[in-house]
Amino acid sequence: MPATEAIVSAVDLTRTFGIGDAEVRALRGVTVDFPAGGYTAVMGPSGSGKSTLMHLLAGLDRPTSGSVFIDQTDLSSLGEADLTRLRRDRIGSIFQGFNLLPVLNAKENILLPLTLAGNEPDPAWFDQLVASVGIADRLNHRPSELSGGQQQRVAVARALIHRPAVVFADEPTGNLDSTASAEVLKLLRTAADEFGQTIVMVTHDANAASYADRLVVLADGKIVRDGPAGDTDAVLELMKSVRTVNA
Amino acid sequence: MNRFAFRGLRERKARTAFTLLAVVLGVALIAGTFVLTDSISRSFDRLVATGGENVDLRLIAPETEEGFGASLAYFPDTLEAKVRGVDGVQFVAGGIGGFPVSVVDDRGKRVGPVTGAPTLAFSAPPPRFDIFEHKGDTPSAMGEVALSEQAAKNAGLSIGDRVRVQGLVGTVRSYRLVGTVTFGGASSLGGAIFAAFSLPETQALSGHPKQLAEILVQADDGVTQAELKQRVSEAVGSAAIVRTGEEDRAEQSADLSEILGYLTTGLLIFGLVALLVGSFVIFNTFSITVAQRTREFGMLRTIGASRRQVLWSVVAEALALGFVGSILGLAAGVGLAPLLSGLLSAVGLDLPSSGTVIAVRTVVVAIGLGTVVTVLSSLAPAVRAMRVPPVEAMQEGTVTPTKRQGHLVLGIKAAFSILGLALMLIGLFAGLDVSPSLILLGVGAVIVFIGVGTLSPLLVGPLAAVVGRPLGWTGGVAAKIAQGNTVRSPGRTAGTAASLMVGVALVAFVAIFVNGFKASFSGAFEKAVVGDFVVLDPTGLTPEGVAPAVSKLPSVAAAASLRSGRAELKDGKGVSLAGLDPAVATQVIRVAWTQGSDDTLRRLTPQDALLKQDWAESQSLSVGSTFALYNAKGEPTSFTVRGLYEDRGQFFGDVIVTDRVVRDQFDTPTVTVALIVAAPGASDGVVRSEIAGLLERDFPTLEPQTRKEFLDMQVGAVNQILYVFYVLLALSVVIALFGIVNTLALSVYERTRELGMLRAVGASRRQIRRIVRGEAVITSLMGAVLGVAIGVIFGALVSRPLESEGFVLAIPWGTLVVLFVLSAIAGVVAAIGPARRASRIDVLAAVTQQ
Repeated sequence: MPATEAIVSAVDLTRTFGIGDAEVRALRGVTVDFPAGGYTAVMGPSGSGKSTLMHLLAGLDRPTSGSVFIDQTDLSSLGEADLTRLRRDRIGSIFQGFNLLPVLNAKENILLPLTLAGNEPDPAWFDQLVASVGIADRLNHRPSELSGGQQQRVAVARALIHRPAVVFADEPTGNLDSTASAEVLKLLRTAADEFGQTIVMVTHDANAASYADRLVVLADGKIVRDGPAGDTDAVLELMKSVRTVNA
Repeated sequence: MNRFAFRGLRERKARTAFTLLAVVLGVALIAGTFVLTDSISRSFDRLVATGGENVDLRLIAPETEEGFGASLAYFPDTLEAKVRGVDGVQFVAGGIGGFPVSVVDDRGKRVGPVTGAPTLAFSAPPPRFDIFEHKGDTPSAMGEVALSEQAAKNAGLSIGDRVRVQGLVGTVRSYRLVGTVTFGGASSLGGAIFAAFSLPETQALSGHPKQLAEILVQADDGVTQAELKQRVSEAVGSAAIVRTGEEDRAEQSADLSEILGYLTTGLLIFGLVALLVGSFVIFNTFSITVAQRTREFGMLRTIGASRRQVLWSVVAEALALGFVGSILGLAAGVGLAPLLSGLLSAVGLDLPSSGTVIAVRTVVVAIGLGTVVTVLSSLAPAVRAMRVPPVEAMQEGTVTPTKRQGHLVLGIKAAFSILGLALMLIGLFAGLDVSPSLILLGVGAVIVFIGVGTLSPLLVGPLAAVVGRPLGWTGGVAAKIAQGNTVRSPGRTAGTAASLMVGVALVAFVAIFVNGFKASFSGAFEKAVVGDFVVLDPTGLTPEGVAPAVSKLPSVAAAASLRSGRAELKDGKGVSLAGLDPAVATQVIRVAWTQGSDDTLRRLTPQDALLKQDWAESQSLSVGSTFALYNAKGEPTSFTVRGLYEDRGQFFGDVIVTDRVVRDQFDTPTVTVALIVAAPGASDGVVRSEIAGLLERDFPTLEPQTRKEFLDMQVGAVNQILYVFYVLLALSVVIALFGIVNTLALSVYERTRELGMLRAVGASRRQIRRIVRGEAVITSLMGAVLGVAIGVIFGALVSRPLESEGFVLAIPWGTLVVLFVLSAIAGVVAAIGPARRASRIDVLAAVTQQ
């Protein structure tokens, strides 16, 4: 059983794709807890299983074996509809690109998880979020009228609007230049610090990982390091060592 | 990625199938039309040829007109003896027939079509000249009749039963059913059924005793048709037209071709409409796929493909699609022909068609037209593909160019639509002949459709806002997203809506036109008729004795007949006549006088006439002037104009004269209708039962109707035709549905990531389905709005020149509302597949797709 204070837990997760010769074991037994309020970066070389881990944690994919718990709920016990509801109510998601619906304006995009659930937004929380995201003057703009950085900040606001148990960010800065990246990462940092938001971020960018409190490194489907993140250089150094270990 | 390639293929398979169907259905209707009419034509020719193989000569009266708008003429039967005396004549038989009779069973129930198609009487020819197939006996004695097999069966009659027949003249007489007949296996010809009698009986029923309509001659062996024609012509002089058997068959074949020509044209129009809708669907599908394949074309250009090669790659796809679709359509058309035949006979228009005739023309036209239309529809998208610059290969994702329309392009499109409208106006108002007018109307309408189709992207935004609003009240964010999706690529939505627009517009137009027709007829009737009850035989066989007999009933105040007839001017132009009995007419009808009064009508003598105001003006006639009308034999009758009237509903026609004149001078033995006014204070029930009692005794083929019953019956007959139009237009709507399915499927495919993201942030499958469905409903409602608008405009336009004939534009609001509802339902149905697929998108695959 996961530790009670953990918001998200993975217990002995494995995930295998394909069968026979084509079999790929993306995760080979991962157990990890994410306590409330923590900001964790997950890193690892291509094919290490870091994205697979996040998809399993976010309920987008089901494990071959093992369990995922979010807020004490065993995801494997949920059907399609309940899983959808969980994603809608308890999880915030930020993807690399294609985060926003082009036909809705910024405000409507931010409110999407609430409107899908048929819930009314908390106006004070909305105003606070919009202010910290810094797009108050662009709320009526469509995504196509926003810069890449602005779009991603809108996506962050959307991931936070319904006060989810956890926010999963999958390479949130993957398509951004360095200035826009810094803004988005600072925003996530603020969310963790000021709102106590639990965040799990998958990235391959050492600089991005340096914003997190904790760094989990995967290689070949297993956790090879779990500890404090440190600054960019420390992360880079660490990753180098992981690569050497693997080689 | 493999998963996506596979899904893409599946998507492509479905898309190809639906695009193919858009070609197949249109081509099938065209091919089916040809197959059907060719088969009818061949069966007919064969029947005439086998039945007429012994006919070496056929003599008909000089005034006879056969074929479309046939009119009968007679010569004395003494001519038969004269022909028999000619050297080289082996056998002669006189005949008479082709006029309507009314047949009822011994309980007074009508035998044969109730739709208004006639029962045609003819004298049974001797076996050697017979073109009918008989069961039982051939009528040879007085009091014997043979009826169409199916009609007898439907009426529950068997051989030996008794029926009663009202002829053109005389009273009803009783007959014994001695046999049944069929013609080429069919029990009717264009809805008309047959009643065969002996020659003297037929002569009596027609009111032409000792007269004949035709004489058939068989030559002695060794005497050629031409030789015999020469001799017989000399013997009869100008008393008859003499044709050889071959000439006569060619003539009949030509008459049939003329009638079938109208049928072919009518059905072909629906095929062409279906093809037009299909071309919208093809254009739209190709436009979308070309847009989605922009990167692929860019890549092709990058690795050295020429613009021409890119263009050809798209056109070749269209060519293959069009060709395969056309061949499938041709095959489907062969299968469709019997269904069309069934549809026609469902409204009482059955024709003998045995076997299936697939003419070379059918194959060439079907495949040629289908292929050419498909390729033409793909040209614009193909050119767009050709213009993709190589750099597009490097762009991310699907590029949907949202190029602003230049003023020039917009102007050209608007001008194009206006040109279509102008052509229609010329067709309507330039006073051209019927055929060029109709062609201009049709071509104009097609141009308007295409023009509005190209302009409609401009309307997508506002229309989506309007039709999406009611949806928003119920659908929440899903409706909002659906509405947003429809305006994302206005061209795509517009193209999809436009394909539905065509079908809806034509349905609306037909509904408006027919409704106007009904309203006009009812209006004219209400205005002109005072009577409470109406008695008429739907096939025009109301005996003239009905009104005088009915007027003697205690509960009847007055009864009078209206006798409609035809006359000609010296130049052969037709004139419609109404015969009224001056003594009683003013009590049952109302004339809208512009000059004169009911007294004028009361004092009308057989030498007097009343003229319709605008007809009088067109003939430069006024009160006091004299003029002559000619009957079918060319004999003139002179009249003096006594009064003028308005008749916007063409209830009376051009000229009103006395009843006797129409009967005697213009050979109209029966009246059109008997109009009856109840006595003051008499209840409807009493009046009806008195009239019914009288009719049952003396005129068993007839029944009384109230004004309302009469109008309802007329409207019912019109509705039948309306339903045939609806069925034929439904095909176009179905094609448009395939178009909607195609567009939705392609959009869903294109928006996989977006839909996956929506699912990832918590949209339920239901919500996803609602989004796709909403998009479909908005699109189809747009098509309905455009279609109904165009339909109303067309209806208003076409009714303008008919207004002088009393046509009233009456919009059938109920029908139009039903059209909107059906369109919305159509959208929901079209969305089923794509919505399902959208809701089953693999969320993980969608959000990780790069």
